[in-house]
Amino acid sequence: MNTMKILGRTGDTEVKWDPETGYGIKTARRLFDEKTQRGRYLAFIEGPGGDGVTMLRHFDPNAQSIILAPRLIGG
Amino acid sequence: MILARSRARFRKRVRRHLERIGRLFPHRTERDLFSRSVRYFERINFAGQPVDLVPDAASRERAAALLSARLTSGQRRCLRRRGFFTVIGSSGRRFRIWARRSLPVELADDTSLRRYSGPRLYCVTTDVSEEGGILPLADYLLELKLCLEADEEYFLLTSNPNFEQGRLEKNQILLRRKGSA
Repeated sequence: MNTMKILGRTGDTEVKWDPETGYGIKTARRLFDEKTQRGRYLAFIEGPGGDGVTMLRHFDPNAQSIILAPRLIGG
Repeated sequence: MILARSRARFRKRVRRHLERIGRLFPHRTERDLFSRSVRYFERINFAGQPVDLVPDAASRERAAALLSARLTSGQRRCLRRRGFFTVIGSSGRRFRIWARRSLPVELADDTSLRRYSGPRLYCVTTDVSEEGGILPLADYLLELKLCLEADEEYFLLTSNPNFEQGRLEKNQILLRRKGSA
């Protein structure tokens, strides 16, 4: 199962989906689009073992682990 | 035969006893990750805030576990003992991420000429206006780490540096992006 973690006040909320059976992809995609629209959240995709982090613009159902975090602003 | 059986029984009893102790005193990742002073200053930050905006103990613990899983043992040790961990940005420069809310990122690279003698810090925070609460410190540090590793230029554009060279670099990136657009 691939996972997406949404960071927030209550720690992280986990959303899971299975790219082979298609279970949960619709919900994960909807949440991803909701959160990342207008750049409100940043999406990071991690390689196996947490290596090779890149930013994600569109939802990728084959991504092993996605982390959504609120956008950064200058302090 | 009798001796082996009694040994097994003894081991079983010890295991049960340890499980009972573990239930009474569960493992606290937040305590392993942050020193006492970091946790104290974090509590002071939250002192004047409304309760429903502040992350509770369970959230902080979950955030600490998430960060801990993404740090190396050296980074975890450094964070606990010295209050920061080092991250290599996407351009290859080294940054220190301090466990605090204000000015959390420091440029630790010495390849460029250093006119400014103080620490070269970047001020950045998370926009939680949509979320309606404060992100736990561990989640905040994790986001900074991921952002630096994934897209250092985005971080430099977003943050406010406290040194001249950083401001010049930010302006150069802005001009370059404007030119390419």
